Amino acid sequence: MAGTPLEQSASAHGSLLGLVEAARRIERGAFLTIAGDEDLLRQLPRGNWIGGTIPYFMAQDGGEMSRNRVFVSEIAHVSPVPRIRFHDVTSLDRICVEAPDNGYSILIIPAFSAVHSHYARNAPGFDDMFVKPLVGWVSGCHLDDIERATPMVINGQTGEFDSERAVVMHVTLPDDCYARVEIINLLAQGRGDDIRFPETGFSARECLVNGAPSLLADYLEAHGGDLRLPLVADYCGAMVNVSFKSIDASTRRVDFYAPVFKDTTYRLARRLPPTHSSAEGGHAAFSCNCILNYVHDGLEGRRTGAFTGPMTFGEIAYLLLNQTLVYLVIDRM
Amino acid sequence: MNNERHLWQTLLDVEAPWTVTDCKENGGRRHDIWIGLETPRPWLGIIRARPVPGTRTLSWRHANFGAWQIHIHVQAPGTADLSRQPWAGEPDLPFTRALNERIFTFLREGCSLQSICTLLDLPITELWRLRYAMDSGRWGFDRSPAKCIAAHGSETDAGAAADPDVPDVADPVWVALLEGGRQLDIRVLGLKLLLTRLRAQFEMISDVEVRTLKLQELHRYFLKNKRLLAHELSQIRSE
Repeated sequence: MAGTPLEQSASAHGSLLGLVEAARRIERGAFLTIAGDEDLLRQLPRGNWIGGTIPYFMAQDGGEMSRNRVFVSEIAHVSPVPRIRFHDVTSLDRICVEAPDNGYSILIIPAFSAVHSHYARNAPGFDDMFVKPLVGWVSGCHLDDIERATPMVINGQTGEFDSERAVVMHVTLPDDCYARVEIINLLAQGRGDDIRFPETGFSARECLVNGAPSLLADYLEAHGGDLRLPLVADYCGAMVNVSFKSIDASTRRVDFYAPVFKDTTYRLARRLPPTHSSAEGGHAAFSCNCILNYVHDGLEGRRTGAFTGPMTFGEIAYLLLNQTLVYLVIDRM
Repeated sequence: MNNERHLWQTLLDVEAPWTVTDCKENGGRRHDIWIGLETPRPWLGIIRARPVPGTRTLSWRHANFGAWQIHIHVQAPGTADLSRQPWAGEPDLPFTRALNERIFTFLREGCSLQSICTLLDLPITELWRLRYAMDSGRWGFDRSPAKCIAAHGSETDAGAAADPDVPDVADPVWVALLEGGRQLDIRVLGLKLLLTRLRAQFEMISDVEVRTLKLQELHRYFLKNKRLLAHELSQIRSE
């Protein structure tokens, strides 16, 4: 028998708050996830929270860039007490093993770090990956600051900011509840050529197009060169995007925001009509969306159904995703 | 042969034409053992000169003796057949067959890689190399006759109790799912991602034991998440 989604309170759903109200919630002892500009996060008190730097949000009133408010979501289930810890590249593979048997984990990873790269490449092989619900996001910075800012994650219990470690909160659920991870991807595999890669990596020059050796940059330019449309892989019906970052004109190297895997077949994306379900968004205990969707789809001032959350440099629904809305629902039996 | 080399020869079960050629204690817990071919014995006072093909030295970590870490170095001609020796391993992998067997036993029981590292005092990076070789079909378990029986179905998932909602791990539905012969309408994201990964691995893996491990991984996933998988399990049970 399938469960029924638990309606989430406004505080669990998350909202953009001023510093005073965010601090008040921390001091009340709530377990929170907080996204915001680094200067603001540094002004928050210690407490039961994890956070990451990003100034872009899907707020209650629509998409917004803010450097004077932070996005705060409250964890509804705090008995037993959620556990917070940092992971570096040597311990990140234990993240699912350390997760509760019945619950979920929220992971925040600093963009452009070794732990970001390690997770993107190796998460599919981590012990207990896919067995226990895992969601999260990649912290970032204002797009104007991308050359000089260092994305951070924060363990609010210790007050530590870190650019090289990931932070996780493990949440245990009551026995009559379970967590469900979902994604909404408004892109799907197109009907074009099959593209495969000789190696797993964040960049590629060569690829096989329908089995024939090709240069990916040449292929992309011959097919319109619209880098807003990512590569898409079909994982038993789940569409997983790999977004394009750039093409290096001199070396003809194509860079991605997530790795391509050598044992996976990709195609260029096609767009699907928007299908943000307001009902499902109202049940989300966690959600985040992609900064590329914010930019490419012009989401500033626009809403995505009832979904709110940070607009991030990468979304985590078990794997690192791009251009995807990720959310988590708690069902009760 | 001195007593120490003789002792290692016995402990490691090294038999002619192989012999322990040297052994050293390095820093108390680490013991390095060198194994090579016996020096030809004179026949009527004559040693026939024989061509020696290019010799290479291969090194592996072996199963511990108590708290001692055993590192084995085999000096052998490139043509030497080491495939049946428990104190040797695959050239590009970190462990001997004897240690691989222990690791595999732990994996079959559902131990995490980190737990295995702790129990066997192994570095996680080397265990990852073995796991990667298994998952990519580059490594197959060198089984004894007893292991062959287990792999062909007389032994099921020892760690999993029978569950009325989830077919037994020996049920052919799991093979059909991993080989792609059986399709499901899947609603659960985690299952879509896991099944895609396992199918890609299953396609590359020919070793029966490693394929069994993948079947157990899928079966365990269903046991652990059966509340979430009502739609999928109803399709499986309707067969």
